[in-house]
Amino acid sequence: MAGLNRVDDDLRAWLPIRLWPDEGEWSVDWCRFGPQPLREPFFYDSVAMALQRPFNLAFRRRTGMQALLEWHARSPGIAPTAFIFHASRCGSTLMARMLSRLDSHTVLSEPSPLDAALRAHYRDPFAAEHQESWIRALLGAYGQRRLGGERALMVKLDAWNIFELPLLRRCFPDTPWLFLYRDPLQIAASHLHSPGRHMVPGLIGPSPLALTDEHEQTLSRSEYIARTIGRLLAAGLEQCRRHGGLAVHYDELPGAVTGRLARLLALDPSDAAAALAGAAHHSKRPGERFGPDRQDKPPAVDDATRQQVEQWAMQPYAALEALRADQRPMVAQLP
Amino acid sequence: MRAAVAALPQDAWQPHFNTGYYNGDWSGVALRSFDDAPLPLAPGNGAAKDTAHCDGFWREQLARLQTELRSARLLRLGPGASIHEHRDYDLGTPEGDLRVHIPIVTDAQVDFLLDGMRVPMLAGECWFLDLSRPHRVDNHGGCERIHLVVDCRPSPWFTAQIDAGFLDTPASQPSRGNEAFAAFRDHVHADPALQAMLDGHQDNRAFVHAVLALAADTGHCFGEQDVRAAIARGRRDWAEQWLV
Repeated sequence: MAGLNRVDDDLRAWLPIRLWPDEGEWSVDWCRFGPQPLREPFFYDSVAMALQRPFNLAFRRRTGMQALLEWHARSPGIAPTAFIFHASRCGSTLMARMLSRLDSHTVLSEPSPLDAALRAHYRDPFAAEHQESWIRALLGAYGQRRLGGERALMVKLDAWNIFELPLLRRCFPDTPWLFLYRDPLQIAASHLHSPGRHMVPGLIGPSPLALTDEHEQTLSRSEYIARTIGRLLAAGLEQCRRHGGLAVHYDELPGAVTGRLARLLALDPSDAAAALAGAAHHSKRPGERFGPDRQDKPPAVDDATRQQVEQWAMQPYAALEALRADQRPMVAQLP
Repeated sequence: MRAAVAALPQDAWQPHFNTGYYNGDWSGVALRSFDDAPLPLAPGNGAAKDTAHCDGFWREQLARLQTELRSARLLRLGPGASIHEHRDYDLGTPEGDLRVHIPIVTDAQVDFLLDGMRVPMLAGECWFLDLSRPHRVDNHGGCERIHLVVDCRPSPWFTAQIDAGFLDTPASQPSRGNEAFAAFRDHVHADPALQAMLDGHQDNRAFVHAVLALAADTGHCFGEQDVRAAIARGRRDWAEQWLV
């Protein structure tokens, strides 16, 4: 990985796969995707596929941030169409998978370079003054027309990025966004079965999601999960109120994608069938058929967890439901 | 030492036990080895003893290393021969042996590459290198390269010698193959059509052949080992983000 800061190369076929500080200097690792679409459940899976090709081992390039900024100036790319925020285990991957069926849509599912850029200032205070231009340039690089027919760039973030929403809004004040959530008991049941990264104390690095409680490490697993879900729901609620986000419930999926959200997600009426076909299989385990689990999963959680969820997460959930009811009239239907 | 090496009978040289990892002549003479090693040149865990080749002259030379010695080997890499890139993980552990290289016969045509950089070892010097890092050797020249390679136990004396030598150790340099590959990479990075052509290969072997053919056409001089080292480096650069 070398071929450092050439800034006159055509980078249309290349995507940033890592953004990191190395002794104070932030670097970009670029990988060639060429015509490879991003159809995997997560960006990380698409990266793993691209890195199987020997070209990307021998010819990957590393540049400084300046090369990213200059590439953005030369070739701005499609601006983000919509941002998908979520409380985790709420159908955001399903939504991303449905949209990724369309050649017209470039779908980024939790790209780690974006997470690194959004949280750069927690690791490196000097990054703060450059962060907005980095984030615009990064999404510009993702918004290149690699296949030719792209007209939309959909960005699904990591659950904890809801705390960095104001920063993202400063970069893209006009891009609509939504917040996906569901009954916190269902979220807790899913994390108890198979915990997400943010449910393991300390794993995701510096984030306002982290509990500041000095006893954080000694909390029971169910209390940790319930409190983390509560904080995500409360943050989603507050950002929706302050920054005009649309509250969307898991139970509305997959129908809402081609229904009330169609305009926000830049779907044409002719896209509906292909998008719905993308909902037929389990979004994170594509070998399995997808079935909404609201009826068949009265969540198998113990009473202690129920009590913790009641205490920490039910109140912001109820408030989100009330907000969603208020918002319904303002949403456009598929024409 | 050069004269003592020349005096060794030809049949003293045994091929290196690790036959899958080199091309050409890579052979050695054990001066000190383990009583439980399957072959005189191979590692073992038992007691270390001088071999019949370790005469008074070699004993005197080895005694200059004032620490416990595990093994001592004369290793010869013939003209045109190469040792593929590898890592000696056993040398990287806190309790592991420390390996020193003492070049006896070498020249500017030998590329000893550590982490892709050429280590400028000259005859008569004594080098300690972290060989748990990726390294390879290419003898591009017409002479045999012969090193005395000694595995030592860590000791305060040894640490003091490393500290004392650190200041006047010359820096490693880019290797010829590496520089040629880097120039070729710039050439590819500037040409989207070449990128698409090379990125069409899923298979490593076909990819390496395509790269070498294109390099030859465009006057970039490097070999298969340089391409394979670049592939290994690209994989490592990605994996290292998860190492703490």
